Amino acid sequence: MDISSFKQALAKVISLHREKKFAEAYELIEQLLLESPYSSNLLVKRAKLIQLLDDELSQPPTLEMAFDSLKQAHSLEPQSIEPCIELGYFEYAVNDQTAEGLKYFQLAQENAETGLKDALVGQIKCYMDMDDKMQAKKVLEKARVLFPDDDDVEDLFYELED
Amino acid sequence: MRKADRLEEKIKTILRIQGKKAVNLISAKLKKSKSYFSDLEGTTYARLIEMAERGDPRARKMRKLIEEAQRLSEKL
Repeated sequence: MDISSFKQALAKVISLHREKKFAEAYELIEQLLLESPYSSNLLVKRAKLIQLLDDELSQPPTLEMAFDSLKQAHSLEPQSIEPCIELGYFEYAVNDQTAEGLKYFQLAQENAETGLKDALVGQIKCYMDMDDKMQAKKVLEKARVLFPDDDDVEDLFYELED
Repeated sequence: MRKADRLEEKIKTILRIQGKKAVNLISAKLKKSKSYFSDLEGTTYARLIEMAERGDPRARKMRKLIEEAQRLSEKL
């Protein structure tokens, strides 16, 4: 399958979900997973769709399969936020294991904060490269509030002060 | 989506589901969860919230399942 067909199929999955045709969306996701079995994004979508299924399939997947898909997605991309969020909700709502759910949500927060810090540092560097010190300082202020003890952010602070 | 629109959507959802029975708000698959109690399936979402707030652990679990089903159906 080429990239264009893959994107089209993915858009179709989202559209089927919006129309509440969860079984059709699930079957399409299974086809896509044959092409990309280690796609964390597809594994998360599969897990979400499984939970929404009614008894309309001849060989219905189990809730355990949804949980396993999420765990697999998390092991493939431990730094990714979505598998952590979905594992968090699964533990919290489906398994009623709130303490386990909390762990995953905390991990999702850590991953999100790392991503946010990297995004802010990248912006500051770009503004500095463009000689726009005002914008660089504006973003830096935000970074220092959110990440007061971060070495990368402090290095940029001193660099901008010079 | 603006904050006001999001809030409006949320209120609409609550109004739409508050009088519905649990059995109609939870998918067949989520009904396999240990948190599903078939003797409460005829109870409305609004009533489950009241029961959960009074400390009924089974109602609390059913409420979580309903809200999970809603969340999953909103965005893939």
